[in-house]
Amino acid sequence: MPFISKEPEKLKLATPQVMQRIRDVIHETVTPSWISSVPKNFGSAGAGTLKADEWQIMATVYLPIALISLWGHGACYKHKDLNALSTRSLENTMSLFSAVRLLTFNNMSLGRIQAYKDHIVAYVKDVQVLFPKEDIPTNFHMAIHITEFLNLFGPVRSWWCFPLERLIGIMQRRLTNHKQGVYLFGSTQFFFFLTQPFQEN
Amino acid sequence: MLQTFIRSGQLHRWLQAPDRPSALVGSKELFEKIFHRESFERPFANPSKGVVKDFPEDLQSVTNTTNGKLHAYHRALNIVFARASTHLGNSLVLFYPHNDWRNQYIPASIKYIFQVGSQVKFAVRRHLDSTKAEDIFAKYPHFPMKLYSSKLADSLEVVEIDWIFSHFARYNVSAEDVVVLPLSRE
Repeated sequence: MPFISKEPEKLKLATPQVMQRIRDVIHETVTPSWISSVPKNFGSAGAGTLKADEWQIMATVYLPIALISLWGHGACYKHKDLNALSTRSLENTMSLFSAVRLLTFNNMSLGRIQAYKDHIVAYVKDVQVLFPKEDIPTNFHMAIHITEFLNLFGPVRSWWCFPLERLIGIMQRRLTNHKQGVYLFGSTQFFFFLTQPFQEN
Repeated sequence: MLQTFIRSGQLHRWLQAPDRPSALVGSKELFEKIFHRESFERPFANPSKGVVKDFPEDLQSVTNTTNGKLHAYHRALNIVFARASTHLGNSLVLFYPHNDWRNQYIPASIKYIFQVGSQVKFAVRRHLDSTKAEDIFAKYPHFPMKLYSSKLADSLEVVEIDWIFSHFARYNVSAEDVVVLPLSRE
């Protein structure tokens, strides 16, 4: 006798059609040259893990266009429960995208900080209602605290971690001789002593 | 490292604050002059270069000038603008007609970058309004996307660089309509 689960069927929003629409939008959207490129095969295993900068471009350019064009009319799926869920998920996701857009402005005002807080709080609240069985990661809580840093330090461009990320990237690409504290820089055979190696006698 | 990071963050904030000392602003300009750092105001295409040519007919009619220099691209305020035939993405601009910020900005595509005398200007074709009754993209106040017609106006308009608000991203939602997404980070 075949096993029949009594669990209700799990609703899945990210169908192959949705992923294909996102890839189409990435491929067909016309952008200026200063917008960084993102993987054209987004969502497939070959695309690898997106970097923070790529997620920022996805959240502020491609994903809003793709999701609104797909879910904005509210009749994308055959299952009516999925249509209702996609409409609510779109509103929820747009709160997140609006928060990201506000956060990455070069100029910050009290009005923008308050708008960021409203959007991120609305997103965190609604995501718990929409997906009650999912665990809420810690960085949701941390995202709300960014409001305080905006008040203290101003626009995130002044204090975000991209410069340090770049420094880490540069250091990772350097050739080393696998000796702790001693780095071999490039093909110039130049030894750069970051720290004085500790010598044991 | 954390202390250095916090201090540099505070320093950046102080340097960008509206109430920063005017001496700092002057020092920055002096620094750039001494060390020959490329100024943000310096145009990418050198206006002193290029050959004076006869303008195409459509450009002549809108500028009332028969000849001048034509550029493929131009850099202003550290942003590269290009004509549509050179780089379509860099040609998509939002502009305020006559620099009137009280009105809604207009999406357009640069057809020509021309120079008469020392001043560089753009000749653009604006996107026509969409005929759709409902705009599902225009519901989000902090994400100001909007539908426009995919057709461009036949007539050209002359736009000065100061009138430009930002570049925009464009996606063809259907054969008739495009969605316009402003890319300003200011």
